[in-house]
Amino acid sequence: MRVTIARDELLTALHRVQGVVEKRNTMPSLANVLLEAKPEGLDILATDLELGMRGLYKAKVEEPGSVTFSARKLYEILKEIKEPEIALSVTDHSLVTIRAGRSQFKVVGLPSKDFPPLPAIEREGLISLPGASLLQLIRKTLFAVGDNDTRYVLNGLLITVLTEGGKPMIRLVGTDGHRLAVADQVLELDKDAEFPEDTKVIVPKKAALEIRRLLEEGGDEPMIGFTKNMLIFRKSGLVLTSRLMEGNYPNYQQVVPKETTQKITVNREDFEGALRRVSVLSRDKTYAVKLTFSPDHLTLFSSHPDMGEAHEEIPSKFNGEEFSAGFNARYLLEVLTIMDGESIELQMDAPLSPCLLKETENTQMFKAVVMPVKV
Amino acid sequence: MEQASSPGKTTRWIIHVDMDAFYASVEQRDYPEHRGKPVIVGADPKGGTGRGVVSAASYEARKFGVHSALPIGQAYRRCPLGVFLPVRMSRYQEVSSHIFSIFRRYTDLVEPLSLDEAFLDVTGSLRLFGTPQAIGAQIQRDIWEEAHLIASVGVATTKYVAKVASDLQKPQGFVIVPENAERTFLHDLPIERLWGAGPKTAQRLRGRGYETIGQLASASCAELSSWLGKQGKHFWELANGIDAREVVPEAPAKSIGAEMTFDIDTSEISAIKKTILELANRVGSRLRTEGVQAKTLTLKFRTAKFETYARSTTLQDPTDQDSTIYHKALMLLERLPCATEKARLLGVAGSHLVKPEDSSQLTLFPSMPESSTHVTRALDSIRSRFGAQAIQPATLLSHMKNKAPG
Repeated sequence: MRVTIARDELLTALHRVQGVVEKRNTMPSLANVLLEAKPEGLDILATDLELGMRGLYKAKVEEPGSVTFSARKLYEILKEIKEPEIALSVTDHSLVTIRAGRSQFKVVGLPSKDFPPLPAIEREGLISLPGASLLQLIRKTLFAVGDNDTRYVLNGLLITVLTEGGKPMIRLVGTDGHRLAVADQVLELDKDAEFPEDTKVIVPKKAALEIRRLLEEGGDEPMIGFTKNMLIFRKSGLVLTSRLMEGNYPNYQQVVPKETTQKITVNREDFEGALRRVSVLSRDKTYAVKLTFSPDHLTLFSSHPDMGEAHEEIPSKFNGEEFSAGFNARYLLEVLTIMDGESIELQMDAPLSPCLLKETENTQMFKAVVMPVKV
Repeated sequence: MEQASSPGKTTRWIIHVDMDAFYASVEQRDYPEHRGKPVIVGADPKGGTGRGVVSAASYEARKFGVHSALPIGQAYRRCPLGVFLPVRMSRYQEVSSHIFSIFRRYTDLVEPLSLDEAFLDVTGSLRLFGTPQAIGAQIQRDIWEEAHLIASVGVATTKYVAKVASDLQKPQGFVIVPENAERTFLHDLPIERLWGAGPKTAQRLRGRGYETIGQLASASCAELSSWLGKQGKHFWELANGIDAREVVPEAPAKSIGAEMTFDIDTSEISAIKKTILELANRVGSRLRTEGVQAKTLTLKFRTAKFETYARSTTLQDPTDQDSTIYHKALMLLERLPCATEKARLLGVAGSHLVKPEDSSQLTLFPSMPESSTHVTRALDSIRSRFGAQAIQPATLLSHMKNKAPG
């Protein structure tokens, strides 16, 4: 194998696979990238057996061939190289030589036959989505997804397609059992696009994180599709595949409170700032903050047994009777951070009932629910 | 605040509990055939040629002049018909932890001196449990009723006096030294009873004419200090019943773990998983007994080639639940580079132990419990009544097939 490639092109490729390769050394080849030099360019693959990424990059291929070696080391080398062009060559024994200007690296690789194959894509059925709105959906839900939760399905992001008001909608849902985020987007489908109406899949958090990273690069519009147990995501000559999670997602619709007229309206930035300040003096682990809803203001209070207490009042509108409820400030802050618009609405019936949060300007497309703490 | 800054105003009450001939008593309790006989726990006497020493002697054996730390060969010669038994440390530890759990019912301030001896500061428990003597008597009774072992108890206002008191009427002694009676109590005791004075120091004190603690108490503190330095002042204070040392509860464990060595090295995944399940249950149960939760879990894997690998994970929420520990340990197993090799030993441990936070966070899906807290609690109570084997995960019931009726 002999290839010449632009440093930036290869760096982009290696940057993309860093999140995919397995850092924990289960199988040495999972920490590797597979480089396949073909007449049409350099194919770069990485997988952790659940998630796979493959991309074709522009390169001058003088002699086709393939090799696999440490994704981390190659990335580290590339970051240090300032030359615009890099030459890669491989000897019979998988010894990779990297030349750039006056530098030369020899890195021990493994033959490509040791590299696990990426899952084969049987059927695609991809639909095109505006990348910016998919990114918004992920941004507004991924934060609520569980982390290493023993309730396995909560470690995934639910993607579902449904019809509401005669329009097809794509909905993403994330929850860790303490808070929940639901974000919707109308699907502008082509006439011939087939997107099974009853799509309901759970995407592993790691795959969702990688998709978010790819969308953040901007550029081409993505395509997304699902087979029975796989997610396929294509963008800018890249294909990302991920195993879907099996299991029953909890009935999230049941826990979203029904709309009532009793609402608290508050400026989003005021609320976020006050929460950040007051939570400095909350108990270390629980971040407990007490909110008191009054007709014309919202009071935030926290106290730490050894340190002291904090108190702040911000203007708000509330058409019900004054009451107080406790929250984990971190959970509220994470919701406020991803919300848009000047003001938000809170809806809560009693101190121990779920709290519904919405954007005042966009009440239908995003909902978050945060469960209170007993204080 | 006022009370704390002037300790003279509140009288501290300290109980010293000392198990009588602990190891030997445990053996006599576990093996009724040894009751009433001279039991000597320690090294193998090998007909008098054995090396090592006596770890504990029952009261029957003490009549023959056998005591702890005596070379085992001598013990054999003094009491050739004695019942010589090996030390079963893990058993004594188990019994000891039960006894300490009795102590902790009455106060958090428990300072262990060894497996069979502890100081308890019960000053803060008086309102709840009555007088110091009532608490001391109740502890002695609890130990007898629950563990069928005898203990000696000393109750006093200082650690030193409590310790002397518990030793005075062994076995099954019960001595209370009322407040302000400390000096009188110590007065006639021989100088050897001075805590911290070894045989040499006692000899030196005797050489200066101090034969009783009372004599030392009436000596001049300055004179003792110039003779024995700091220790002189300390001895003088002890002799006068002054002992400001506090009961320092045991530093909590840094990690809780369990290990198991296979009889035959194995690479069979079902056997490995089963063992991890059993270890996870043991670690979970111990975490709950200690009232702590682990933030970090570690899986240890020793291969047949004696190479040891370990992988750890840090949890977002600390746990004491068997199922969480088991599932995390399986995840760690996948991360081990040696998972396909034969295993010789497996270990599961929890560290970064924290007191469980009173979690008042409400949950969206009560039907999907975060951890099976209620189930675990029920299982624990069954096990504490009927023994560790009484209820187990089905996969661990490998012998059931043979035993199932019909």
